[in-house]
Amino acid sequence: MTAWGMLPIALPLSCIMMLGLGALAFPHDSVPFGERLLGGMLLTLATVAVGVRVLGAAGVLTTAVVIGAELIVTANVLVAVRIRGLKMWPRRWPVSLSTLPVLGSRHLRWGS
Amino acid sequence: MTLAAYFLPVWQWDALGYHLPYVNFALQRGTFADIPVDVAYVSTYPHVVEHVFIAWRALIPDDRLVELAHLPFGLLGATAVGVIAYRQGARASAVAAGAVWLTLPAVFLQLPTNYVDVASAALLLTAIAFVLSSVDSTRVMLSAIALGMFLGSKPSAPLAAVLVFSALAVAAWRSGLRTIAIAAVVVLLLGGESYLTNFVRQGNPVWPVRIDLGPIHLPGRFPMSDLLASGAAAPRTQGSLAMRVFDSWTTIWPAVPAFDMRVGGLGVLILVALPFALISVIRQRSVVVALVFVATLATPDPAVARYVLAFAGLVLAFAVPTIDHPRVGKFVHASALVLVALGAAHNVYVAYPGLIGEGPPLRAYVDMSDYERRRAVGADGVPTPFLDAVARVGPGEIAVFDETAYLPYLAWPPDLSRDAVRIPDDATAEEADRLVHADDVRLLIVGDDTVAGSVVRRDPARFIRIFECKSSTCAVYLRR
Repeated sequence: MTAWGMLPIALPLSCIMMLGLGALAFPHDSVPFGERLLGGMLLTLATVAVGVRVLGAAGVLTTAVVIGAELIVTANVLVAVRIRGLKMWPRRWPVSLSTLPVLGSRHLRWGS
Repeated sequence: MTLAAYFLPVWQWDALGYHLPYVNFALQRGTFADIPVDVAYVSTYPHVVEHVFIAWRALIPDDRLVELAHLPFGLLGATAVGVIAYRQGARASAVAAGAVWLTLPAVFLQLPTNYVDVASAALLLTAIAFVLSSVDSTRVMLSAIALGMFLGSKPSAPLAAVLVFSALAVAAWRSGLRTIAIAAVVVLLLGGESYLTNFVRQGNPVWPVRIDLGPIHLPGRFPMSDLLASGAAAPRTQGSLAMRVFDSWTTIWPAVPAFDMRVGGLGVLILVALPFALISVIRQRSVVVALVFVATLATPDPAVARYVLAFAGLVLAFAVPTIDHPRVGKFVHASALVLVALGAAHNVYVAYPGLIGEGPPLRAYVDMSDYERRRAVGADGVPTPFLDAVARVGPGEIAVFDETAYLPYLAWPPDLSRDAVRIPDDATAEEADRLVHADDVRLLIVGDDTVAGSVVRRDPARFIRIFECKSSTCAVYLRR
């Protein structure tokens, strides 16, 4: 195992959790993204701190339980975001799967 | 910072002394039951930030990257500064304000360590960011969560927490919200545990610091002045509070790199930003703004940079909207951002020597093995004797140490494959004898003037004295 251990799995999960919790805290697009991000970061760190306190009190503070707990919490956050029909990333991407052909056709037209 | 955290061993005093020993006690058998009670700092310090360190450490095989656990809090603080700046009217420069906060020497140097001051400041700034936003129920709760975590980050937090909570109450009352009582409960639930525990067990919520405040006298082992006199040995400011603050804040290029309790550490940009921030605060004439500013200065010693990191963040956040003012032309705007970038680069340049302590330069670590890196630098000289001694603790064996071990983290191997046990301060001769002579004890770090030390010294045929600690009265023994 490298020095990074389980971090390559845990850090992306934390980012997803952060964006999801931010969206759940501030569901409206009118809230600045920075504030939504801040809320998400805070709630993620609070979840980790409280989670460790609970796991430590229960005597199950191991690598497997910590990463397992993170997986479960992230999955729950994703489900909650999905149920409420929220977008974790508020900005609309200029290109989506459905608009990609349009971009391609424009490129072809310019190229011809 | 990442390179420093990766290449350098854990070498900072507070991390080795009590932040990381708490982490190791919790993880060595996966339970908080192993954490000794009534041990100054290791068990009496508020532990919200260490709980995040524990999660991080649980996910890595050894301690090479444990110091990066502080980094998420740095990003939190930078985001909070950006959000506050945005609410104050900054646009493009809001991000710059957050980024600059990370380059302040005192922040930059502490991020790749397991200290908790950056985390504490970040949580306070987060609470303030939501207080200064257009307050609604969500923001009241988020502010309360941040405030609770802040309260649970350092024993010096209660006064600042009360002031920011007062500001939150004023803002909530003006917005007609009735959730402030729930917010108070959230704050206490998240941050009150150590204070309650200390109060019940010792009669003083901030034990072991003795409190003598007017008619209030709470028991403790030492006064606040002793605490402030501790820390990394280095020149420090003298004189009245105002003089010490002036000397420290205006020290741009300190003789010794700004770390821990040393002089300087706020960098040049804070001095430039301070007048603009003051003008902004005075113009607003807001009770809430005044309360949050005072809160960031409500620390044991505002002359020490690590205690006023949140104040520095607020100063940047309130100053940068000046750059984005509509009357500022494009050339001036661009020039100001370039100067800010130069100031940030200067901050990092000033801070860099402090990243490596008394060890070799960072580039020298590239060619070293992990074995050599661990022995390259330490808090109290290189830790080679401790590492060699711990390497002799075999499977199923443990190390024991008593109160004289100032850097107890060194009792564990870096991969936490062996356990360590602390001998209680009030252990009787019989209890100490039982602990020291337990079958699984291999390594002992005990004092020359403690009960456990006298038990060990009575049996020289069994315990070999291999070396003495540098800054304390302890000695290290191996059992034959």
